[in-house]
Amino acid sequence: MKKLFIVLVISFVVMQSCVTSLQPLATYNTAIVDDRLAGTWNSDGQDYEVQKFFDSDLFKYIKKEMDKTKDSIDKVFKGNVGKELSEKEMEEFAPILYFKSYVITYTKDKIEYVMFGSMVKLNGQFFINFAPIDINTDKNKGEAFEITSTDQLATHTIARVQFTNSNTVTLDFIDGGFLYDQVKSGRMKIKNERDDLYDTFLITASTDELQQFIQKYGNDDRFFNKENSVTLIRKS
Amino acid sequence: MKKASIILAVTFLVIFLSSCLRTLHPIFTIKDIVYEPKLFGTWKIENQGTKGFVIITNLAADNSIELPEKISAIKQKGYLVSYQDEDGNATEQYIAFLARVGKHLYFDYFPADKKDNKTVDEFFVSHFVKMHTSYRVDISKDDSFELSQLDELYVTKLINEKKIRISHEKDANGNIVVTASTDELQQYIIKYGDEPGAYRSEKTVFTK
Repeated sequence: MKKLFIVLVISFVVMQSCVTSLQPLATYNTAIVDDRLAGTWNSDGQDYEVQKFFDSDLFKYIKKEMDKTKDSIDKVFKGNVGKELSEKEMEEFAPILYFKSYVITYTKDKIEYVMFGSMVKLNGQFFINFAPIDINTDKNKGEAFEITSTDQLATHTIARVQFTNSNTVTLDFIDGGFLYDQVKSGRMKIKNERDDLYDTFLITASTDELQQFIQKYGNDDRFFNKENSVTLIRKS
Repeated sequence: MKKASIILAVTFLVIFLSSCLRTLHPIFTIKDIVYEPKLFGTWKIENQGTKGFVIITNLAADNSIELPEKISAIKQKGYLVSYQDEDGNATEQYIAFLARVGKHLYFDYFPADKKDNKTVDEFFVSHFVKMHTSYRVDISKDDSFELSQLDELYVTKLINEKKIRISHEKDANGNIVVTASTDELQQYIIKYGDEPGAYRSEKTVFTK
């Protein structure tokens, strides 16, 4: 598979303080695909490739694999692609959210990372949630970290998206430390699980609750620490 | 091919069914911890024809592992469990605590990270929340011991049949994520700890 490069180089500080949510912020019916986000971006020297799902190499790869098994996207999802779905249908076809998402690919230290990004518009502001999809370790790096689904739970992170112009986008990630403190002290209320012995903190609110929470606090600048912001500059 | 399996799982064509019970919370509190030095050493293991080695050391003896603050405070009572394949290549490492819950001893495993292991992008890794996995520990008189892993499918079946109330969530793909508190988990273990079906059928035998 052709290697692509995305620009989402995010600082160590951001990574340390991201908030993780069990549920995505977007649903298939609320996800927005905006052409302005597609392209090759750079931040602090790191390239990121952002592709709409159906334009992505990932989709081409999946299609090729599915063709091998004589299946097709439409067959598997029973013709539901492209139409408005009921709540029940959304539950049954949760992966369809990704059809209205972006595929983000970047390579760092010879390891390729693939993620989904799903964007929503709440109170006139764009927000995106990221979810991990794949990691391709370099064959020569035997010690590379293996993420196994047996002891790790894949979650979502959330950032506010600000289109400064067609060539600059800023992602403001929610300040995890701030949110943790607010939730722990009872000043903000959102369903969560917290284990103090192992320092585990996971937002378990439903997508609907998450959207309401973001609508309530999306304009609160304390929510988005400057250190949690990433500016992407378009390369192509 | 790893990429194929992961991608196809996303499309639900292939679903990796892991049947080990993963929990967000540990199965023990500090007062439940049992310290058993007999478990230290290098062990040969065999599970369904797969052979390898496990090195169990005191958690306090290894400074290379990143520990949460409160775990660091009790590391003298903990174990570092390092799995190796037949060729001696390291595969997985866990922070483990032995605890008595009801009539039996259990190991609580939590994935261990080395402090200097920055191989993988931190942003990508930050999307994964580490989960606990648990095993009943049966120590034999001949100093060997056996691990029986709690089975996720058993809990899922009880939940789906509404035979049990245990805190859980469903993720975006409809998979059950057990979010039960330590107290709830202990109640589950006390109730089902003697039920063979509550454990995965394959056991791992540790011999010197």
